[in-house]
Amino acid sequence: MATTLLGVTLLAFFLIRVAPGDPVLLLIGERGSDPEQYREMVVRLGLDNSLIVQYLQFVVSALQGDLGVSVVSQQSVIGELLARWPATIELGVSALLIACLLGVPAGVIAAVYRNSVADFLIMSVSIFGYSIPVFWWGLVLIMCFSIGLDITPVAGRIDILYDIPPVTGFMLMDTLAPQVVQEYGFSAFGSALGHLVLPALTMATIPLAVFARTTRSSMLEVLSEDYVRTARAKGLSEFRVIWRHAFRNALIPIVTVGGVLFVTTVITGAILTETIFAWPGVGRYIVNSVYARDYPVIQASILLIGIFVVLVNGLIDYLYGAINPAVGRRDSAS
Amino acid sequence: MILSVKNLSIEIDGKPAVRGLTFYVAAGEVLGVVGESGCGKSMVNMALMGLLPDGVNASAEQMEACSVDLLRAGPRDWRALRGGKMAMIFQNPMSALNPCLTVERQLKESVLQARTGMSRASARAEALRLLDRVGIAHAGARLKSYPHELSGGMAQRIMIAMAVASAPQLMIADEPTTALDVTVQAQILQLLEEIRRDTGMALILVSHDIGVIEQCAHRVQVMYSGQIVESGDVGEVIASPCHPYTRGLVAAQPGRSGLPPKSRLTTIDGSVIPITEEVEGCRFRLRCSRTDHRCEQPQRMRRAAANSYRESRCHW
Ligand SMILES: Nc1ncnc2c1ncn2[C@@H]1O[C@H](COP(=O)(O)OP(=O)(O)OP(=O)(O)O)[C@@H](O)[C@H]1O
Ligand code: SF4
Ligand SMILES: [Mg+2]
Repeated sequence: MATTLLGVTLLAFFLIRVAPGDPVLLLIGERGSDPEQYREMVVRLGLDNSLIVQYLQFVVSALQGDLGVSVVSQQSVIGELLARWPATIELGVSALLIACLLGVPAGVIAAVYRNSVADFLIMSVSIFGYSIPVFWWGLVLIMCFSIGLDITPVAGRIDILYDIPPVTGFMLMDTLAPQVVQEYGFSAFGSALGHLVLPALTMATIPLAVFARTTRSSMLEVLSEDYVRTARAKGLSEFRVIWRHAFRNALIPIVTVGGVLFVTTVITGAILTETIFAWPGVGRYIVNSVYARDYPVIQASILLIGIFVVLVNGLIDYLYGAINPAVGRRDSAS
Repeated sequence: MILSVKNLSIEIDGKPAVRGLTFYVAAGEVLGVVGESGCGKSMVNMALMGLLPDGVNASAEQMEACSVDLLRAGPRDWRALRGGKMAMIFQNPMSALNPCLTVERQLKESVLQARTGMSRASARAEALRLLDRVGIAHAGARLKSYPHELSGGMAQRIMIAMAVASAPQLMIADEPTTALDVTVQAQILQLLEEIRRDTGMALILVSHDIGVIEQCAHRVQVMYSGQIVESGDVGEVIASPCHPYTRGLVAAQPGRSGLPPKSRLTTIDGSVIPITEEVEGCRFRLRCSRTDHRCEQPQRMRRAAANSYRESRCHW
């Protein structure tokens, strides 16, 4: 785990520096033609030191919880990122929940009634869902529901009418805080939910397809196992055979892709979806920072994402053991 | 008659595999079924339990178990029968138990299936009693185990405990000891025999091993390539087999006592024809050493001895 994180710091640091573009020029703009001012800025940003020294400075201060100051806003990077993190998590978790709640049962149905019309439909839809480009799909949803039917808002997390004090940072929770409910009733919550629906659906499409396909193939494999035959031989109802005996054993691959999807939807999905829907989260922040060559923000974001990925993987390893003790034992032994 | 089957045929993907099986099992009796790998023994068992896989279909003139007409049984009847008067144990006990659930949950499930409405606590007590019945020590601790923590013999004992939870009238044991060590094998067979004696249930015991059948069964039925080729009293069949295939089986058994190696059956010359392949005349022709022109006709079961119920599918 420590080595993984070390690798992440290296990546975070060097990747951005090999990309073209000069942060100093971007920052001072036209005045970059003045060599005196340019030098001054280079020194102020610490860019005059050798790369090794810069890297060590970055790691040492990161260990102390200091990820530097944004070149653009002059605010502490960690503060800026943490303030946006809840918006991203809220969107990512909602998307993944939708994907999981629809995709997993669809996959089970496809497996149980394999080669039926239902199976064919579910698999066709999932191939479609997997292949569409996210940004195009997001725009199609906006065209239909926001512009055509006018039932969902186009951008942001909530109507500007509402003034919601950030307590948890999660809009769905903050709009349910007692003083908010006192002031606006549940309309603020409704507005937050309405703003969440389209981006979450957009983000959920690919994971939904992946969930359905993984669940189907995992269930197909498990349904031919001896213990499923035993369960039937006991006279259990088909419902119990499927959900209690087969599904639980099929969960391991589903949880694995769930973890991968969580990481990919929350991060790559966030970058596209947040940009389309002007969702004020980490993804959009990273995109803007990349345009501005804001080194500290980019490297801090990559680092935080790395830590997030490592944590999710740890959680998944733990879940394996909880689902199937035999697997858990085998893993910890190796 | 606890089970009577007339002209049972099974098709795999539309091709005949099991061809016109007629047999019966009397109450309290042990019927041994012997035959080499792939001859359709498990298919017949699955048909009797209504558990044939997709693409495999059974048809019969008559199929009746525990006074239930299996040909007319709907899903509900099947479920009641499986969790009630009929039970089945399998070849590989380790993979037949669910790796994600404790012994307690799996065993209690069988108990509750047989007695709906029983309280959790008395189901647990019943589970403990069953473990004790199948000879598992420290039953309380064992209930908490997961299948991967059990030995093969212990897992098979637990399978037996689950099977007898509903006090079945007929148990089908499909090669219950093939996957186990020789010493454990003998213990499991003895346990089955004890339970059969105590409860009076009937048992269909399937095995590759004619030695096992000789030791445990009352009657035997020899299968070859989807057909019964010989049936009769175990002692008589083994003492003087009528069908050339049975002769081969018996002759290939070294020592005729104790527990011979598992590879015996392959010592009959010639290769096995796939069960779904059509053959003109006797299906054993390609491997038989006593063929003559009569073998070109399909063979039917004939009385093989004047004073007994022995039958053989051969003109000799
Ligand atoms: N699910 C299935 N679908 C199609 N064919 C099958 C299936 N399972 C088995 N078969 C075929 O059916 C034939 C009979 O198989 P069966 O399992 O009944 O043999 P068996 O006598 O029990 O053999 P063994 O002693 O190895 O258990 C085999 O030739 C096999 O190829
Ligand atoms: S009928 Fe002919 S081929 Fe078949 S077993 Fe008898 S002798 Fe052999
Ligand atoms: Mg078999």
